[in-house]
This record gives sequence, structure tokens and C-alpha cells, in this order.
Amino acid sequence: MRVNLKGTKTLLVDDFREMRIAIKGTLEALGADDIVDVGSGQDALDAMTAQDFDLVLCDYNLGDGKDGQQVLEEARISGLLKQQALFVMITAENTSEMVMGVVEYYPDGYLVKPVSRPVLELRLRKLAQRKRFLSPIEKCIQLKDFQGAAAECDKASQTPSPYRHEAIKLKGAALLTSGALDDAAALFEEVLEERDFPWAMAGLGKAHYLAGRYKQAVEVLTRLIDDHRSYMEAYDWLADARCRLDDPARATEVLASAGRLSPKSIRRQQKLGWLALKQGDYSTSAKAFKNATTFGRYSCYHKPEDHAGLARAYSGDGKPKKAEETLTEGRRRHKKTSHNMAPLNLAEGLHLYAVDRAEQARGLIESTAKDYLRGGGDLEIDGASDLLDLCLKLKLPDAAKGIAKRVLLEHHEDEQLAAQVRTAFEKAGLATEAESLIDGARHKIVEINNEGVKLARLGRMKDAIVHLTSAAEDLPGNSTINLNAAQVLIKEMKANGVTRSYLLKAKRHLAHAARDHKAGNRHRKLSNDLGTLTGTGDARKMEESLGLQNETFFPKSL
Amino acid sequence: MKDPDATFSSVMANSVHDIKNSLSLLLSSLDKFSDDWPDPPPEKTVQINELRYETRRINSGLIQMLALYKAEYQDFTTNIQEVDIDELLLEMELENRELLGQKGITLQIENEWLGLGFMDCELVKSVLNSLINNAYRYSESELLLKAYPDGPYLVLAVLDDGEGYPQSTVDQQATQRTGLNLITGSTGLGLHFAAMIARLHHSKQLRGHIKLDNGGIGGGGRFRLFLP
Repeated sequence: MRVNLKGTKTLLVDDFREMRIAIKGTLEALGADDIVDVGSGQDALDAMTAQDFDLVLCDYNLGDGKDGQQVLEEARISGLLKQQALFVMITAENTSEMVMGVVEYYPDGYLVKPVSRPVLELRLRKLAQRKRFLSPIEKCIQLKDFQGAAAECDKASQTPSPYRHEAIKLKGAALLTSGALDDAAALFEEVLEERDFPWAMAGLGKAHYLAGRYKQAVEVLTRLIDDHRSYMEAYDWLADARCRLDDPARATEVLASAGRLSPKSIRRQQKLGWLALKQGDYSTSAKAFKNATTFGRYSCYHKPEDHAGLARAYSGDGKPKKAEETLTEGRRRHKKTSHNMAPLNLAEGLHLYAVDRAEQARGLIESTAKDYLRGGGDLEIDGASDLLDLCLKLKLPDAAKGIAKRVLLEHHEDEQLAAQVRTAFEKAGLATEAESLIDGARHKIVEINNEGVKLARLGRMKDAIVHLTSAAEDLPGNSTINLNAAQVLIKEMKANGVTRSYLLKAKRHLAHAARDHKAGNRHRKLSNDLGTLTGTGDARKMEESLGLQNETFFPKSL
Repeated sequence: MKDPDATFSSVMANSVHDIKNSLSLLLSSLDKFSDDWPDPPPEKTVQINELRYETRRINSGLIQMLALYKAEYQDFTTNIQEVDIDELLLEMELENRELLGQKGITLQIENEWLGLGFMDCELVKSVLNSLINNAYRYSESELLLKAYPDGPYLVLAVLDDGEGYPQSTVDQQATQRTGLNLITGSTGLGLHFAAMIARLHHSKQLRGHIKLDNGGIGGGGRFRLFLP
């Protein structure tokens, strides 16, 4: 069977014009007649935005600007690649280093230069075969129909095929995502009898982790890293498990060794930077953020927080000049792409306070806090807690109270946060204020929930939905309220059919709740319910038409 | 790890990228040349194939040098994946058949291995390619590339019908672990590389290794790569 690329919409990305002409010639010899070729990562993304492609051939090394992996990440995150499209990465070097830089999104295949015509043909044919074989499974996973996915996997793994193990691997992933942790663990243990598949060891480690068996997770993942030093995903989960076991120092070590092996993985570097910063390990933190700002320059994961973190690490390390330069550079770089200067303002305020320029800090922090309370600046929970602490130190008690109120409402069950708020207010001689803020937030949340439950019990489902979804809109960070809102929506759709507006809302609230790792089990259960609800018939078509994005499955616990 | 200079490494990585691009262009020009001139006189075909052969030798040499450099100065890591052995052999055949045919050597492939193999595909391919490149010089008329099980190992064997390896090379393989100096010449570099790549493959306490003898076709050279 020959490959015929006639009619295949193909995108070719290489920064070297002659190279594009050469590969184009090879593709044309295989029948290709619909080729768009571009010379940079940004042009590739623009082309993918303008039209859908069936096949993308992308060089990894694209000179200045985004590299091939960053193009792939952004395309997947922004939903620019159809599920059945093939993305093939072309590389000059051995693939192992590139694979190590991947946190989440893998290409469908790699081609190593120089690529001869017969090999390109064979490779494309095999990749298309593989894609066709796995496609029904991937489709179910994308629609979060995990039962369907598992059934497709069983079907696929019974047929003798070179992709049998891949089907088993996907089934394991589907079981993990759907929360069937014991089944997942049993499946991985069964394949491990056959061979020490690194993916199966990683899967077993994840199953232990998600089930809260952190010690066992550490044991399996450590063994995996000993045997397969370049299996980077293991480091991410091992670090998370170490954190859960209250051992942030060793978690830092784990991520630092991962960072040395694959410095270009920006998300791993960000995680390392914050973890090290929290423990006062400033030099490790600075190194990590430096890598994030350098290698991540063109990545869609790059945020103002990276410069904020770097400045804070330098400041903590006694390098005021470098801290100030970093802040200037951060503002300059993110001015156009992000309007969120809150993390940089906070970093600057902390720095000014540390070098005894409290007056200057005060003005800046006062306006940052005001902005934050108006919903203008966005901060992660740790950032918000640092901001309120600094407000108290700078004698801005009203701003501090406002921030405390907001974060406590969003995270009313977070004991660690409550303790931080308590300590900060106690130091400022405002211990009683802290208690009333904490209690007030908890009461308020209980009230909102009770009212929702009451309305639902009375059969006033529409009112319950309005009540809970509007509360959830006000408090996007509160996972309990968002999950409750999703739950009433799902219940209503189960009883009276799926509607587009309820479906969108339910997804939105589930996505909000997904940011809180403690919401894990309940979130998985509700996602499953929603998946079952939209798994068939018209609802499935509606779901498909919404243009789903893959939900990330990267551990978020740090 | 004793990387002398990070800048040097990145200069090297960029050079490799450039050289690989040049090789790609060279190969595609040759393809285009053949398209435009489907039936050249025999001596031209010989020359074109000679060019292809040299391009591939440069490529193999480059891969090996880079791998050895990394093993010496940096963290050398493998990307061990499930590999469809049929596809691997077919790819080797597609890449080499024409060139070998040109010299009157027929390349046979035999697969007695059922299912998937586990290896860093690119590295193993470059080992096999470099052996086939040698065979291009030393084989008489037949070359056999074979995959089969041997105990817990997958064996990839290259058998030729040439005069066989010199006895000294066969004897030296026992000491190949001790380093590059023991085996000299271009074959030596290839074997050193092959042994290194083999050792990087391991599973359940088994390690990959190579064996070299004259059990090839009619006493010709036989190279075996054992992968756990």
C-alpha cells in the first residue's frame, strides 16, 4: 500500500527555506497537493488558526521564537488541532532530549533528519495506521466518556497489533482519570508482570498517589527513576508525593534533578522555583525561574509570575540590584501580553520593604491591594496571602482585611490558609479580627449552600440553579460552591434533558473546581456523571460541537 | 559529568543541526536529480549512489560522535520505546536496498520475532546502519538482517558473506568495556558505539550486549545485538 497525500491539508514548519523546499518536494512526490509552509512557530499557529490541517510536520529547532514543542503545546491548548490530525516533530538530534522536555503534550511521532523519501512514506503510513487504531479511544477520552474509553481499549487490546500495549496504557489513564483507582492499580500491576514498562510503573505510582497512599507512591516512583532516569513524568509525581508527606526539601531535590536533565521544561521549572522560594532556598529558586524566563520566553506557559518569582529569589538571596533589573525586565516583557501586574507589584513591594524603603512600598502595595479587591489583578492563593501579610506590615489593615475576606471565602476549608491569616493578624495585634473574618467566611459559605439545598428540596430547581451558579460566579476559587453548582445543573439535566447553556455552565464550574486538588474525588465523580450524560445521542453531538479542549492532568498540588 | 563548557555544547548542538540540514538537502537534491533523470547511464547511477553512500556515512559518523561526546561529558539518556520490529526491518531495507543492489549485494530481511521490541529506535537504527555501511564495503553478494528471540533477548543480527572480521577484532571484543583505545579504525568506533548503545538497554536485571564472530554466511562476519 502506498501513501497518497492527495487532498491532505498539510502544514510544513521549518525556519530554513531551502529545507522547506526540499521537504515539500518529498511530500509532493507522495502526492501532496495542498501544502502550506511557514518559517516560524508563530506563523504556524496563525496558519492553524486560519484553517484546519490533517498533517503538521514541524521542525523542533525553529531558531529565535517558539520551538516545535511550544508550537504543539499552544496548538493543543488552544484547540487548533483536530483530534484526528497528525502532528509529527522533525528533529536533527536524538529524540530523547526532546521527549524529556515534554510535560504533557506529545506529538504523534518523531522523524529524525535526514529524512529519506521511502522512510517518510513508511513512517506516515504507520502513524496513520496507529492513529486510526487508537482514534475511537482518544475520542471517548476527549469526551470524558471513560467507561466507553475502557471498553474501546479492551476491544483494541484483544486484537493482535503492535499498538496493543498502547491501548492498555490508555485504558490505565482512563481508569485513573475516572477515579477507578483500584482497577487502575490492578491493571498496571498485571502488565508489570510482563515487563518493567516505565509507563506502567508511573501509572501504578499515580494510582497510589491519587488514593492517598503517598509512601507507596514514593517507593514505586523512586524505583522507576532509578531504572529509567529520563522518565520525567515520574519526577513530577514523586515531588508531589514528597510534598504530601511534608517533605518539601526532598521534593525540591527531586525537581532540581529533573530540571538539570530537562532545563527547557518551563512548567517543571516554575514549580521548582516556587517550592524552593517557599523554603528560603533562594539560589535553587533563582536558577529555576531564570530557566523559566529564558527557555520559556516564547511559551504560552510563560507568565509575569516567573519574573516576580525570580525577583523575589534574588531579593531573598541579597542581590537587590538583580532583583530590580528583573522587575523592570518583567514589566517590559509582559506589558503587551498580560495586563496582570499584581505578581510583579507584590514582588516589588516585598523587595522595597526588605531594603527599608517602606514608604515607597506602602504606596505601591496600597494601590495593588485596591486593584486586587476590584478584581483587577490576579494572584494565586499564596500570592494573596503574601499580599495581605505585607499590607499588615505596612500598616494597611483595611486592605489586609479586604484581601483576607476574599481569599477566605474562596478557600473556606483551607486550614493552612486560615492559620497563615491568623498568624499575620496576630503579629499586627489584630488577633480578634482574624477570628471574626475566618468565622464570617465559613458562615457565609454554609449559608449559601444551605439555601441552595433548601431550594432544591422544595423542588424549586431553577431557583437553586440561579442561586448556586451566581454564588459560584462570585467565588470562582471556591471549589465547594462550584461543585455544588455543577451538581444541581447535572441533576437538572438528568431529569429534564441536556441543554447547551446548562452544559456550558456545568463545565465551567467543574473547570473552576479542578484547580483545587482537594476537590479531586468529587470532581472526578461529577465529571464522570457529566460524561455519561453527554456520552450518547444528541448530547454527544452537542458536546462535540462545543469544541472541547483537553483538560490538563498535570499534578497541581504544589 | 564534566562538561567543559556549556557554550561549547550549544555551539555543537547548533552545528549538528546545520550539518543535518545540509545532509537532508543533499539527499533531497539527489532524489530530485533521479526524478528528473530517470534512466541515467550506468556510470552516473554508480556515482549518484556513491554520493548517497557517503552522505549516510557522514550521518552515521555524526550521530556516533555526538553520542560518544555526550556519554563522556554530559548526561546521555535514551528514549526506550515500544518498536514494531517489522517496521524497523522494513525501514532498514528501504534505506539500504537500492544502494546495496547497486554493488550487486542483495539485502534479505527475516523476522522471527513476534510482537514489539523495546529500544531507542534511532540509536539502534544508527548502529545497524553503520554495520550495513561497512558491509557495503566488505560483502560479496549477500547480506542478511535478522530479528529473532534468544532466551529473554531480542537479537538483531547482521550477517554478511565477506571474509569475516579479523581474528584480532573478534578477540578484542572481550575487552571492549575498557575503552576506545583497544579498537582502532572506523570499524572500531562503530563497534565501540554499538557496545555502548547495547549497554544502555536494560530491563529486569538484564543488560544489552553485542557479540561479534565469523558465523555469517559462508564464514562471513556476524554481528549480533542482544536487547533485553
